[in-house]
Amino acid sequence: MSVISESDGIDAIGANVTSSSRALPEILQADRPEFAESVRPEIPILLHVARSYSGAEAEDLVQETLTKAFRAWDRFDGRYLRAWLLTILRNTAINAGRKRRPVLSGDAETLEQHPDSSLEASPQDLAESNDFVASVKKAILGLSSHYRIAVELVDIDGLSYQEAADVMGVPVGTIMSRLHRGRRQVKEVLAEQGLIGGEQ
Amino acid sequence: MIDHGLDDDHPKSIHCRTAARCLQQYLDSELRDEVLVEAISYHLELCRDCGMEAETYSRIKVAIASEGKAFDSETMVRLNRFLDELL
Repeated sequence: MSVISESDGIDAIGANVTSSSRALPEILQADRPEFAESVRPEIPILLHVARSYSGAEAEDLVQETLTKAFRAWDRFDGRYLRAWLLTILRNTAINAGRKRRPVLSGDAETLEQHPDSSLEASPQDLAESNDFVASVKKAILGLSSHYRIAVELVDIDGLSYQEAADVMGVPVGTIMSRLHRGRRQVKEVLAEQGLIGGEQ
Repeated sequence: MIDHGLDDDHPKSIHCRTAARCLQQYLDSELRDEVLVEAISYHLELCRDCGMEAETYSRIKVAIASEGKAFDSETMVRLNRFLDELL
């Protein structure tokens, strides 16, 4: 996969709707089944990552990503499809200014996505909870967005460190650092609630 | 020669600090050094504290993962339909 920098934007990979070198009907005839078959399994991950970036606008962001990917399909080199799609999604989010306002823990949008969570719960309420999974989810929502997104990309979406780094536009070492700190904070919250032992 | 942080007194094992440093990568299957992976596995079986630490983070990972893919079906239907119509 060719390296795409954040500053290159969508145009650099030929995903700009107006910059395609091929007429749309030609693309439709040649690549339709392959595109759909290849991209469809990636929609859930695209949606989840989009939600990390833009909350309630995630569906629109995925649609924009699919459109741009389709237009650029003739330029895709056939390797690392997920990373390619996620790079388009990230660049689309950046271009739309969405990344400047990542979903922050406590946003109404976030609460809608996690109806079983309650950020209004007091520490005492949390401490009284005996549900480990629910407590972990609440702790995740309490992380800063950088940490939370890194953890979600790896633990929920199953991305490799390199894929997560590509999505977030940071070095792999930064992903590792954010993962470590994010998980440690979750662990500390659980320890405070008495759900696990404290630090070694 | 790669420094695996092996314990001189116990050649098959490693120090706790090495296990702690590599634990997240180990749990994420991101360690490519098979010797180190084996050494960490061995250490986690023998060292109670490190083993408990690994167990805690494993439980956290499983709990986080359980949240995934819980998208409402209507959204997925709309996006799949959008993909079909895009073609």
